[in-house]
Amino acid sequence: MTESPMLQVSGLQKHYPVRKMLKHVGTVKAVEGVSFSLGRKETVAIVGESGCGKSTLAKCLMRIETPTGGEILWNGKSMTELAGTDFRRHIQLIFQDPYGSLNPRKKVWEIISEPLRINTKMGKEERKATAQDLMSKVGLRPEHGNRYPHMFSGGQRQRIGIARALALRPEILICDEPVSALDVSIQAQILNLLLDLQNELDLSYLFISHDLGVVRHIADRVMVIYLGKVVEQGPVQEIFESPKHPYTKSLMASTPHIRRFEKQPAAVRGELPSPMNPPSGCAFHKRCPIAVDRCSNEEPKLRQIGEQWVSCHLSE
Amino acid sequence: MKPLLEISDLSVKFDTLRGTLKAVDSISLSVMPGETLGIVGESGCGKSLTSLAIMRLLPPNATITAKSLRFDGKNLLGLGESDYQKLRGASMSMIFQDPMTSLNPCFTVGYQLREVLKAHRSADKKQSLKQAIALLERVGISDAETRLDAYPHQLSGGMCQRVMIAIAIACRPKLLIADEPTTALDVTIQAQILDLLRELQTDYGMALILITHNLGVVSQMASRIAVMYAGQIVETGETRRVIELPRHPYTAALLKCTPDVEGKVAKAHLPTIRGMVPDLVHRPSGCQLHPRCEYADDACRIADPAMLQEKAHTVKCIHPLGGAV
Repeated sequence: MTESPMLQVSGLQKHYPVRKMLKHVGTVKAVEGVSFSLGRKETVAIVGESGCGKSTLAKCLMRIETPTGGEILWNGKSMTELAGTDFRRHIQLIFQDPYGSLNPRKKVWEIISEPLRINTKMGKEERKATAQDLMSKVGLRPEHGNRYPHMFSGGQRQRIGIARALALRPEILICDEPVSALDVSIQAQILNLLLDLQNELDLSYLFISHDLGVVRHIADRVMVIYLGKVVEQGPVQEIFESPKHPYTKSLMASTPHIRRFEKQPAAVRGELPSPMNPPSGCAFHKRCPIAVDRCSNEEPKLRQIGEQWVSCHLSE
Repeated sequence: MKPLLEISDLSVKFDTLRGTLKAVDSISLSVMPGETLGIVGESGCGKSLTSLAIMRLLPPNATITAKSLRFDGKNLLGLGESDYQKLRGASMSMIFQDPMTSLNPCFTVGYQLREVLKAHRSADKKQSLKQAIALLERVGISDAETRLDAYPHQLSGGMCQRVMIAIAIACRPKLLIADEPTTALDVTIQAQILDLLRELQTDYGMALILITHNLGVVSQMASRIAVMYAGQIVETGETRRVIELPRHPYTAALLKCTPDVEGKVAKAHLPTIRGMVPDLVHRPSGCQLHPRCEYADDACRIADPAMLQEKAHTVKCIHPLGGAV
């Protein structure tokens, strides 16, 4: 971590009201008090089950959703004070689905240079040239700029998505499951590309993924989220080699290892509880293998153990 | 012991405007009663089509040819549609990747579960209701009686997959084909579903064909493994042997480019397989992997390699890794 991180998020909160027949009946706390920082050239991975708030967190950072609380500081300045165009130069997004995220009616160079058309005063020729530059940077042939998305394979489309995200020369890329729709051999190519681009352009990544193998490979630090809250956070090596929170432990235990041939029994019972009425105390206590009475009454706070931050009463 | 399922030289072809597309190219495999066979490969390698061909669920524009296709002592090739109907869902059944869309959203879970019992067991209303409740309980759905009246959208993905499994095992099949059964699920739920499949398998003694792209899932579930590439089986063998000492360059490459949780080197380049999967209408000559294979030479470009066999391990390669077979 650098001394003054580029992006500092503190106490970020996103609540959605739930209405039934126009009456307010409850609140979904999709993201609740998430704090973290992201330094230059650093990769922070966010892991958790579906519905835990990973994508909502990304949307809040991209300002697709307005957070209901907390603060996002960009080099010490509040993000909310930056105008949309200023801000989008700094942060861009790569989507999960390389098929759904590209407009099928547009040529590839138009797709890649669309951020430039919206956010800069560049002329058409200049934009086209920039798009072709970007295409060669991400490993596509620039002369294919006049083709349409359907003429490309899934991996190539993901490269188009990456080129578009790089068009405004952002410092941070938010990657929302960028490789989970791809085959392993293609997945490896895209991960390598992301690593190369990081070294070349000093990019920082906020990497959202449910694949722990990929996370282990690409991240510097890991943040584990359960029902909108951070349950454990720390350097990648510590998290993987000595996970402290029982939830992190069960995620690790549930992930099948290629070279472990014994049958692995399921590590967690039950399913993710409804975020509308999360359990009292520790949100994980109903599925936790080591829960005690205290866990159902008292909500644990994040505390530091070594280099990790853990929110569990029982971890040491 | 005689194999439960025996396939030899099975091909699936589609006539397209561009020419004939050979999606599955003369594959042979067998499954013993009660055993788990894992079929792995990347998308488009023909693993799902193989299972659909066994179930005869292919679209009408597909042509199936095979030297023989035998299941439980019956010749499937000569079987008429109505006889196949009796087999499907009763002695062989299948579960699919996406549990949310493979259930009909317009009917309750209970209706869909009892439909199978009605069709194959000609059970009356009272019996089928009792059996349906027992089945839901068997697959680990609590509060089974009230869940029968639930519609699929009211259940989570993991629950829907449990219902799919309940439907598939309702008639105690001898063979269950699971096509990417956990790909759409979270790892914690994946572990629970795999547990359930293992349990049911021991209880019922059924054979399982597990189709997946996830090598980790195969290595903990399957006793034998078949690796597919471009519609062909390129390597088969006991799971542990294939994963620890792969003989085919494709299997080896696939294993190398998968990031593992136990990997130690962070932020280093992963090995990749260069190029792309071949066009199945205009297939390359010789070995299908040769344009992408780092060991390929002239011989690989000319001749289609034969399947070499060493005990239970087979490999379709002229230059298998680790020397001649």
